[in-house]
Amino acid sequence: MEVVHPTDQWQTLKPNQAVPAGSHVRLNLQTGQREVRMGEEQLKYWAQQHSEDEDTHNIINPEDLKKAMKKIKEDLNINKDLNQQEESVSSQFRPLEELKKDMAKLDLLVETDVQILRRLLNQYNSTRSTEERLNILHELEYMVHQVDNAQNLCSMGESSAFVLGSALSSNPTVQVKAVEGGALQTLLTLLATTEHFPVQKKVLFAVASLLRNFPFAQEHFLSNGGLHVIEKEQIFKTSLNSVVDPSHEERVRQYSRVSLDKKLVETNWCSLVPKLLDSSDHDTREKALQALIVMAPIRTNDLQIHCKITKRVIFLELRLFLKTGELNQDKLKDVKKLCKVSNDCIDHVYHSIMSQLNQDHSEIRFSAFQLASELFNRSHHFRTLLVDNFQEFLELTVETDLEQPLPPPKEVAKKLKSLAIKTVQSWQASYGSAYKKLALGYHFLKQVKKVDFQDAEARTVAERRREEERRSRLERIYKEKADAATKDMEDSYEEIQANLTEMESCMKLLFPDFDLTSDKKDVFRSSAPNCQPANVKEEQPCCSKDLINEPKEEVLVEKQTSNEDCKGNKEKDPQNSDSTRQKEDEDEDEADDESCEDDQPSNEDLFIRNLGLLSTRLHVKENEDNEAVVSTVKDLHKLISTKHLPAVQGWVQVLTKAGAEQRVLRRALDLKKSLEAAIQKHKELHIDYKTRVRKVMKATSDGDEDDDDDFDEVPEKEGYEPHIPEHLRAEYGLDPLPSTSSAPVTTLPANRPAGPPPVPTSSSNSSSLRKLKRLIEEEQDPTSAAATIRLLKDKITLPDEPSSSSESSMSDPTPAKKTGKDAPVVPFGLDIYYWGQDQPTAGKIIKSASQHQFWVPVEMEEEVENKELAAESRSRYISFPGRFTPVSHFCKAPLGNGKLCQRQDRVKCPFHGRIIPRDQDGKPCKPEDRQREEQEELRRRQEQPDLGTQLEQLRGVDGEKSPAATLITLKRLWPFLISLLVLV
Amino acid sequence: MLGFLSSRQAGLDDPLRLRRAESTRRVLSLQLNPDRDVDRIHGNGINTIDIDVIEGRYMLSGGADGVIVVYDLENFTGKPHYTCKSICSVGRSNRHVHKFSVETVQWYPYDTGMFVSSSFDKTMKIWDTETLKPAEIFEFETNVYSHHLSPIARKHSLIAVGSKNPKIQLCDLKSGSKIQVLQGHRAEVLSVRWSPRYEYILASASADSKVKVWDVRRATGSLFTLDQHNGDKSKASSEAANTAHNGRVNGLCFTGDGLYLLTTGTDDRMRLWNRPRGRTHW
Repeated sequence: MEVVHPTDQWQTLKPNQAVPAGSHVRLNLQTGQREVRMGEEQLKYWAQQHSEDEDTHNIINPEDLKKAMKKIKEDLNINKDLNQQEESVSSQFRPLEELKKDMAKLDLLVETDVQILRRLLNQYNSTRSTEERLNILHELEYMVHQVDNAQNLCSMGESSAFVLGSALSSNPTVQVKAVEGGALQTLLTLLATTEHFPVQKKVLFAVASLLRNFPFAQEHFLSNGGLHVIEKEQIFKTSLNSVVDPSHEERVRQYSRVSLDKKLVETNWCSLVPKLLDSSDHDTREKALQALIVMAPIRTNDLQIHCKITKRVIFLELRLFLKTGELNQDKLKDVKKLCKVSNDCIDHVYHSIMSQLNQDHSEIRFSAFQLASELFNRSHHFRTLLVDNFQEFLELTVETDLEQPLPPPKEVAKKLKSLAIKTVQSWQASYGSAYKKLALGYHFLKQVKKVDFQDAEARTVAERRREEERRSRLERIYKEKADAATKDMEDSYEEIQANLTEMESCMKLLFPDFDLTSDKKDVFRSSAPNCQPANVKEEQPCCSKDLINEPKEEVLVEKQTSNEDCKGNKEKDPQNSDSTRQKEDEDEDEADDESCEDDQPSNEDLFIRNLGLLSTRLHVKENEDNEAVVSTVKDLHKLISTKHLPAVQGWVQVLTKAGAEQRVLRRALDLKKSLEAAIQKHKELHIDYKTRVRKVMKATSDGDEDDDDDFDEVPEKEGYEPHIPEHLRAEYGLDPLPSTSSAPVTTLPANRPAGPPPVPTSSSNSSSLRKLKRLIEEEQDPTSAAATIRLLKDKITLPDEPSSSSESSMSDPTPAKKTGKDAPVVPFGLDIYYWGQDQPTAGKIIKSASQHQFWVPVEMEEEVENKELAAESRSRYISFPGRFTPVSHFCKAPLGNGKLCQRQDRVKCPFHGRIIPRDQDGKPCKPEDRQREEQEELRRRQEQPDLGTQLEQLRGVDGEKSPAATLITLKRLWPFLISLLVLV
Repeated sequence: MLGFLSSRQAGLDDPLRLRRAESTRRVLSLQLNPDRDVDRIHGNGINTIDIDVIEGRYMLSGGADGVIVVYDLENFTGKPHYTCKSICSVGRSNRHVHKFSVETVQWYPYDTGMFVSSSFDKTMKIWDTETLKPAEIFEFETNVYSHHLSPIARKHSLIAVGSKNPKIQLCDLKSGSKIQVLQGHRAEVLSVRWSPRYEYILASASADSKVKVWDVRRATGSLFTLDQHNGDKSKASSEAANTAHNGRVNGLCFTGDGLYLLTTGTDDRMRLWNRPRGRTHW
């Protein structure tokens, strides 16, 4: 017999339930049920409790409580039941805290109950003895029990159920106790009666935890089948949320174990769970799916519903796939499990897959296809279905129908296609013999669509052909290029070879034993340190060591005495200072040149000595003996480095790209190697061309001394100036150059005193033109001495002549600015382009003597200078119209109607002649004008008598005058007469 | 099936009922024969096939590349699995091959020694099967869509030819000339069929969505035109009057007994006509 614990609200009284004494029982006439609530006195008690102060709420510290309880656990081995209760109490706190927030909303009764709990907990906290604590726990247990049993606390139920649930979960003893104590029933009742959703949730949780792994409870649970159904209905009415669903799943699993009332329950479930699937919440659907899958094996007898479910499942699965983008293995397993159930399921799966395949989105198709390919390997029935409709399947996946291209996005479509082709191939391999249509489809793809199944790209024939064409075109182009290159090579091979041999022989001439070997280099290295100190001591600037070492020092000095380095140089060398003094008069550029000139003689003495040294070291100077050879070498070097080498490099590139035959390629490579070797050799020779440059510079710079200098310098100045490339310096035991290649030359002015040119040579004059050319060439070449000199110029002159440069810079711009203000700004034109130059072509016209189209005389291109054209290109017409000034004066001549003429002509009025100054009445201001006007007036009057007199004349003179005269008069009067007539 | 049989035995059922039930069942269970294969000769699509009516052994196929192949369908190997070999073919290398796609091939109804093929190269060729050379070539001004030899004709040997020209041409095998023209269609004639029941009755389907039935002995014109609305003027708009389909009519077939005519159109419909009355059933 159960005892009902009434609350302050009415609750239904079930049969076989006992009512405590003092309760108020009534018969609800609307429902026909008996209802019970507390009696009047009890209610008073409730109210009293409620009115108590609520301050105690904040006193309890859950942490302390927990600690204390833990202590209890350790100290005493209380029975599990109590422990459980304890736990439940501890877990009570969080919901209570939540409750606090909702305090305003909550029923007052909750608070009272809470207060009781609080009080108990307070006591629990305050007491130290275990016995007391035990008592409190008992009380708490009772409280909790009361909370459970008495459904009077609806909102409290939420937390209590939660407590119970946590207490019950996987604790057999408690479970047994709970079931025996009727907790299950009360929970169910609570569930059935409450409308509050969170409460339901919590209660459900409790129920689920009660039932989990506990067949006894399940049996109990099922015995209350009616309640159960009610509960479910309610669940669905309130559209479950995810918390509920795990419990469902659990329960469902237990149904399968406890085979009680199964069918009834299942049919209900079957109709109910699908409803869940319709809910919009993704999570819920997933949970429901899980539940369904758990149930699936049981419900084979209920096929119709099952099929419906399957359909939905598949649909959802596909959607899921779409969302996640890839096949979820678990989901796949679920589907497979479903498919195992019956062929009808497969039918449904198949149809849903096909409908998904028909979607206009490649992603969806892709997922559907993946699913299909999974199932294809599993089920014969699915295979038959799919193969029956293989054509459509291919259309949707492999794009066999050109009018139905795969939908966007493109990448996925591509992926789908290639995957489909691969899959079809694997299907064909494993099932082709059994399914004829599959084989046919495969052959169709292979032979009609020409799909290359080996090709991972899954390209169609057309695509492949296009690709091939492109490749062949490229190949052709390459081949053409290669052919051209080979031809070129054939053509110029001889020439290059000739050049090479020439170079070789030149080098041999210059340096008989020259050979590009490492041994030589070693010799170099070994000899270098020996020579170096000697050179330095002897102050032989021409030696490579000197030239390189000294500059370093110099540069250092330069840095220290930044402004004075030139002066310093002068002090070091009086001769040099003289030269610099001379220089001061001249221009910047010329000064530089001079400094170079000055250097040269200083070397002269040393050169002679150096010759011996140099010969051992593979340095070649240019002198009169070897001038021709050296110049040839130079030309050849230039030819090789600027023309042949790039050409050969280009050939090699083309040939390797085109994959030309080995022979040709090797030849090209050989050629390249030998060319490079030649250049390298040339480098190692260190031929010095500097002297020449100098000579030429002189020739250009100072006109008077030209001849002398040229004559002088040629013989001695062929001074060799070693130019050691940067990368070779290490080999020579030298530090890397601190500054650029200009550094060695900077020292030259210091060391070389200007001296009289000793020996004139005849060759220089004649070759000056050639040298001029070369100078220009060399100046372009950064490795040449000329270029270094130029750099040097910049360096030296800047500090040297600050005043002059600044003066010029100060004085020059100002007039330019002044003129710039006045002069009109003219757009850039041909005349400016050729400013101060002779235009080679402008103004020249090719005159062809013969006008014939094809016949052309031998000297056809006769250029005739057109002076006009030439002049035109040099001059420019600038039209300058001046400014328009509006006319401010009026004609002011008196008109017939008394007004003045208002015309505003600039000079002359078309009616009144020249505009003259007039007064207000229109009379001319100047007397002569007035006189002239009067005269004109007079004359006009005489010439044109008025109409009346004319008519008189006409009339009066009728008889005397000849008819001809009258006719003339009439004619003259005609316009007047006509106007008269018109007036009449 | 047994139920049908017993009720038929008891005379409870119409014979037609049994027949229909059985034929429907069979049609629904139609499947590809997994044991039979046909050699792959054609490189392109196959437009037309025809199996000879005498032995049912030889099959003609005409491809989109102008190739005609003759297959032997008979299985002499004794094994269930069999691939039909091609006996001979008019390949691309053949001097007489059709230049463009072959649209229709048909055996001469009384003998496999001759067959007729028509093509988009504006010719119709009568082939001697033995030598694979054309015995006769009919040339037309336009593409030939279809031709048909009467399967039962004893008194004439006419080939009806439907081409891009709206006039149907009748070619006589005896004289080797085009002897008659049937006028009445407004657009190209896509298909022509002789009735298997009446020697002189010819049906033609055209792109003007009309199906006409002709008696070739009458020079005046067609016997009647099949009307999808069965003459109900209210349903038919003026231009849709006397049309068989709402699009082009591109297929024609008489039922075996010649009583019904089946037409297919580009309106995705198939219509069964009660031929003698010219009424549509479906």
